Amino acid sequence: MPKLGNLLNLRERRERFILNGQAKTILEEEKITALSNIIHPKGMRVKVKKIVNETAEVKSFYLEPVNSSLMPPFLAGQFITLCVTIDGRTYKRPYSITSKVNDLTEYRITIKKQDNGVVSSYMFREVNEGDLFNILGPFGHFTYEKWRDQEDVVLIAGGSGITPFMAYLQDEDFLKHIHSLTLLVAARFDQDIIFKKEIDDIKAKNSKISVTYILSEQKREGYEYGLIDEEKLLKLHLENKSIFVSGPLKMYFSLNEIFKKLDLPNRFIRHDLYRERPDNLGSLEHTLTIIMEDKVIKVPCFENETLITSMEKGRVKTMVHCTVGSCGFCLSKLISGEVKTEVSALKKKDLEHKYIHPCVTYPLSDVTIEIPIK
Amino acid sequence: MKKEYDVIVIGAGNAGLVSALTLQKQNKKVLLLESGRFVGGLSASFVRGEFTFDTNFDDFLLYGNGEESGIITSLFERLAIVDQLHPIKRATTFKIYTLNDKKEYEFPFGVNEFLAKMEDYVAGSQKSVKEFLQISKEVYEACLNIMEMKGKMDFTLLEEKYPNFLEMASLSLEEGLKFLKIPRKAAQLLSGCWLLLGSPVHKVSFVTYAFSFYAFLSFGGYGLEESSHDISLILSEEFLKYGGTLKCLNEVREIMVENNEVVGVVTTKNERFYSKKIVADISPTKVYGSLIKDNVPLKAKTLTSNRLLGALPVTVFLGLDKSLNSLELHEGTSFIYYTLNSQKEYKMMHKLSHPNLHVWAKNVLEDKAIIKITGFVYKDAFKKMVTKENYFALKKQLTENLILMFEEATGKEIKKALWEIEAATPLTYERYLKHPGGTIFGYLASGLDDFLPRILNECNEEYIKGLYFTGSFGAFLASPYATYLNGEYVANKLLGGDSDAKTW
Repeated sequence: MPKLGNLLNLRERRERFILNGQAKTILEEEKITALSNIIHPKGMRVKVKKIVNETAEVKSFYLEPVNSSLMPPFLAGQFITLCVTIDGRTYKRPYSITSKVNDLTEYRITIKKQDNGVVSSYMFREVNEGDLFNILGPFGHFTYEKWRDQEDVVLIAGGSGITPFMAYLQDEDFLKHIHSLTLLVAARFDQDIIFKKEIDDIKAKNSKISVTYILSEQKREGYEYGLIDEEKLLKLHLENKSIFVSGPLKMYFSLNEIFKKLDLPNRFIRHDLYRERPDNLGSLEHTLTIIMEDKVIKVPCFENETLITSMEKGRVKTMVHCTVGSCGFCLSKLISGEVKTEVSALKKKDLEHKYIHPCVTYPLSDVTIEIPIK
Repeated sequence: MKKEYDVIVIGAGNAGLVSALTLQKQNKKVLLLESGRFVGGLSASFVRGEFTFDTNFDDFLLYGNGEESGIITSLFERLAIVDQLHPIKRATTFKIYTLNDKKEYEFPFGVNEFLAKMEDYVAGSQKSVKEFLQISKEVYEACLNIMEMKGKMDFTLLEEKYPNFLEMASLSLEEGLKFLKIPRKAAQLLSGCWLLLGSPVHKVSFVTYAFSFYAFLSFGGYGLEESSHDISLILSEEFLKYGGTLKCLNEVREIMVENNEVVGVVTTKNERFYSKKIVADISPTKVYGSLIKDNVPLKAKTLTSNRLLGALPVTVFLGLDKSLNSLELHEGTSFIYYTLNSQKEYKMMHKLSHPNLHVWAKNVLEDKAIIKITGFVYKDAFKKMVTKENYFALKKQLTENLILMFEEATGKEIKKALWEIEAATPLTYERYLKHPGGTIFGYLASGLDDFLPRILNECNEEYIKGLYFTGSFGAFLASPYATYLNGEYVANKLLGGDSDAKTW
């Protein structure tokens, strides 16, 4: 039948091609793969090049690459995850990159000493120039998007929340694009303000930028006094401006109340990732059982600590990157037990199938989770 | 202890998941290895603020309209997961825009409705277009039948039932439309969904297009409330429920072959798993290019090294704080071309500055909307332009171009409602979804590498015993529904009918 011949002919032609065709090298799109390893590396080794005291409680660490000439490119507002090993326990913490986007010879990260902070105390006491670390990233989308955001920009920083904005302030393309930039820096005392000189220098060179410092616990000339309240925000004429907020959770909540009152559209307001321990947590001890393929590990856990913290303390390797339930790297399956879990970037189906982000999950009983490991 | 399995499935994309589940349900001992943290492959989703964006093209799952089962419904019935799925009507029409002459065409779903509308646009086209649609229906049925043949072609049946299908079997879409004497303009509009397959009229076969187009026209308005990522999760839960072993973050670095037969895999953690049957839901380019270390059969090398990758995507995901209606935008699928001449566009699309667009828009969260705009280019267009220095700038520029093209086509400004924006380049797709070169179409459906030649020769192309391919690089080509079906097809081929299945 001639018609069936159409089909058989296709088969035969393909067969013939494979038999007589030229076998070349199988190319695996190496350029794209190589490039993606540079742009989105799966982790890299860095050396502490320089340590600078910014304030009594804040230090900047300059990190340079060990095995390559340049750090991966990043966007202003992005962070890296620093992996810090202390007594055989590896802790991972996100820090905003505070250096220039177009200087990739080094990253600067800036760390505030936290009370009882295992990692920050270690960074303050033990780390010297020349020390080596692993980092992950850069990650994050607390970034200015030309297409989405307005050309009049307001940046509101509370305490160490100034860190992501330091990259904004040094991003030439961003500064060229925008029409105006208003920076509000809130701190408790004048000596707590990080990068004051740097900010003032940048401001002096750029007429688009205006800066207001606000001290909550000290009256001083050249500084405003009190909390960031409605009155202070009204002066900024926030309508049709893009507002970026970075700072403690309490500040988010109080600002959000005011934004709502002023009827500002949600799409003009962006928050950096930030999580604090929720109130009303218990303190009971439970057991966390972690299933990793064929291995089962048990560690103590506490109602006022995230599951990730218990894993870190228990010397369990974690996949955590952002620590605030956003990136999804630590995604784990809850096999049994009661937990309190905060709002995070979980999808509806993830929740239905009992997936959790252990970095924002607190135990309420003995808990068993299953995690994939690398 | 030697870790032995009846089947090892590499890659927990949707095809791999369906294969694994189908086999596990037949009491095979299945190991499913996934290099990522999570199942789903291309069916990933991510959250930005209030919005959940899906990376897959799950907008045309062709689920059926409630009365008639769509192409994928019966598969989900066989997998017994329909109870967990919720069909939803997404759109009543699809649109085609042409930028050069500023025209737009809107077609209703449904064969008769489409036919009437086409006559409005091209008077006198009805007779030939009707014939095209009748033949397309036959092609659609014939292809479904072939997909159900589990690798054993029943030529007698094809001859008896589908003469028109056979008549058209070796023609390209362009040749087929000419053969049917369809007026030029009508032919261009009929082929106006070519971007769904990523292959233009002179490349893609008549059969592939007619099959897809008929399915699209019949069921395209309907999808599921669940995203394809949700479906991946459901499939993996079912697989585990039936006792399957799933290992995420387990990347295969070698497929072990002895005497031209697979014996197992080695992972990057240097673990060895043994099986005489491997289903690869990853690209043959990767398998033959690096996973099989020595003695790649010459024919496998010839075939693989000569295949072309499909179109490459640059996507911008937009979350809007208004509904589509209030923005007077179309819900569902649209295509934005410069012209209706796909042969010409295909040539131009080898330049990064000349993408053609597929747009998917849906209302979400009561009064908000998601618009996903994907511009496609070909071959080295992206690779040639991108460097590590210009990557972010280039990404921004490409994103901007897509939005501008969209605004130009629709005449609507979306910036005033924009709440979230995210973009993905071929590099993003390569890095996070692990598709070689960043393609989402697998190999270009074209000539001797289209659906029919692939499936007709599949049995002859098992160059290494026990090694099977599925997924978007497989015989059923790359579309969300086809990849599910392909997963089942390969599983059934392995099972080789119930009686054989008991023997291994």
